[in-house]
Amino acid sequence: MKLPSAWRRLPPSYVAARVGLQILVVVAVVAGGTALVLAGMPGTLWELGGDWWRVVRELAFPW
Amino acid sequence: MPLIVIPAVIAAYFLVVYVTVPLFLLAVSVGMIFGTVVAAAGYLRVLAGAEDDTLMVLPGALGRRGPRAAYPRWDRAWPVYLAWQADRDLHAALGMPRRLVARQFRWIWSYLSDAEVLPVLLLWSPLLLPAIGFCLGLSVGVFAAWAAIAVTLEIALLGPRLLAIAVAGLLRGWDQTVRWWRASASMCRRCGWVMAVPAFRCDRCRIIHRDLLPGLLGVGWHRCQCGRRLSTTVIRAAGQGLKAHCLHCDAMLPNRPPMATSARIAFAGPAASGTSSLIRAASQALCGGAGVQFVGGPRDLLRVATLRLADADGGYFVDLIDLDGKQFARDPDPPLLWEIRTTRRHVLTVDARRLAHVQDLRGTMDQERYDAELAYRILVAQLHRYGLGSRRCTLAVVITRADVLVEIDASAALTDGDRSSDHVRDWLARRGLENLVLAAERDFGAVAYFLTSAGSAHDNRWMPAEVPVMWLLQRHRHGVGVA
Repeated sequence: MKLPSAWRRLPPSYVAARVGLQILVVVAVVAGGTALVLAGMPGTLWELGGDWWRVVRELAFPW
Repeated sequence: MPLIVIPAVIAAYFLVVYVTVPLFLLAVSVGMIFGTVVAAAGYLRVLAGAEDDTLMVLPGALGRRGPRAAYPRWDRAWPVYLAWQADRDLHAALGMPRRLVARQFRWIWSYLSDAEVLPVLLLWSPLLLPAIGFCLGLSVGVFAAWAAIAVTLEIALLGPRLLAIAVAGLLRGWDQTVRWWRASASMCRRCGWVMAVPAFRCDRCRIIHRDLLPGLLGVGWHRCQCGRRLSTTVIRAAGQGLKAHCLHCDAMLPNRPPMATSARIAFAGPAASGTSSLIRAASQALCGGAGVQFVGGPRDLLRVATLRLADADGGYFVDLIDLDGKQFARDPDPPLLWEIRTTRRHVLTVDARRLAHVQDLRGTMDQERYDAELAYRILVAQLHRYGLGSRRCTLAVVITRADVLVEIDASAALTDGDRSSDHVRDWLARRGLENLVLAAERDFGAVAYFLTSAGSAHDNRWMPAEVPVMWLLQRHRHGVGVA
């Protein structure tokens, strides 16, 4: 694997640690997003949005 | 009121309700999602080395260390990634997203603060509010995602950090225990500095590493700035073949294993009290025996004579330190006796010819006298001055030039063949040095008295010169080396 030029002068432990952390960041973001979806966050937001829309609708057409 | 106003108000109302508010919420949501992506990208970018030019903790750039460190400055070696760089990377990951957010707000503010553009913006305010919502969502998304990722990474790094601390502690404990058991230490031949942990020179770039112990610069190995991997701990560094150097003056240390047992004996006494003769005689006596040899050359006898003695464990080294005699005739504190702190084994020489009582009996009152008690007081004061504490030390009081005592009647009581320590002690106490005897037994952990005559032929009436040395070597068999 060809390393980025800035990494060539770093100790191997730095390269290994940073690659590991990069993988961890990607995993954390994907896992966090998945967890939010599975926890029903979009549905909750949608319901909140629905409520808001109901309020607006009542404001717009009070009759 | 013109009739046009009413439709305009109604149109604005519907514009706000059906365009601005939904767009605002949508912009906030999109901003938050985009902020999360930007925060993650900030991490990936920093971890890819994009900001290494300003971010990297380079060898030798760490500055001063804490007051309890083995050496005031850090070695020129790469720190462990987990020690500094990991936190710097996590902190720097916020830099790019923060700049992006700031740029968005500056862009909006540049329009809001422009008096010519503001009326137009107010006209287009239904679309301006979603833009502001996007910026707010972006800000929240960036900072929340950055914090969430940082907490996740810190938790993930906690395990390796604790493991590194535990392994470093074990390695240090093992190394220190072995050094303590063997009482190993190295003494510089140039400056006399004694160190339990010497410096080691990198065998590739020749840079000296002064603290090659497990720590923030590496647990199992330190990575020299040239890239060479150097084993930590004295045992493993010596096993790697690294050359030991003096911590104080960088001189190469004597070619002896850094883990070899090492003992030092400091010889105190006024000038011309027979100290150097005693060292020379003891060295020659020990060098004449089987398994004993001189390690240093003749010049070393000026300050330090190093002997290598063989024993069942493979041999050990003995440094006989000749303290400057001139310093023991001065009052107040002499400044040049720092070598005294390097050992707990001490010899105080008492020249029989210079004692007032003996001079009176010999009729040599015109010769120079000295105050043995003054020399003793200076010795004890120096031990306390350097924090060694005389109670932790052992003292051998050695009467030199015993041959002259044969000439006088008063010596008969001393040179009658009884060479025991108690016998010599009683003689000294009866000859005006009772205060010295009492003080020595009060101040030191152990005291013994010897009668020798270094410059004369062997005689059964006094001890061979090496006996005090061998007695002291039996004391303090284990220790951390420096004292």
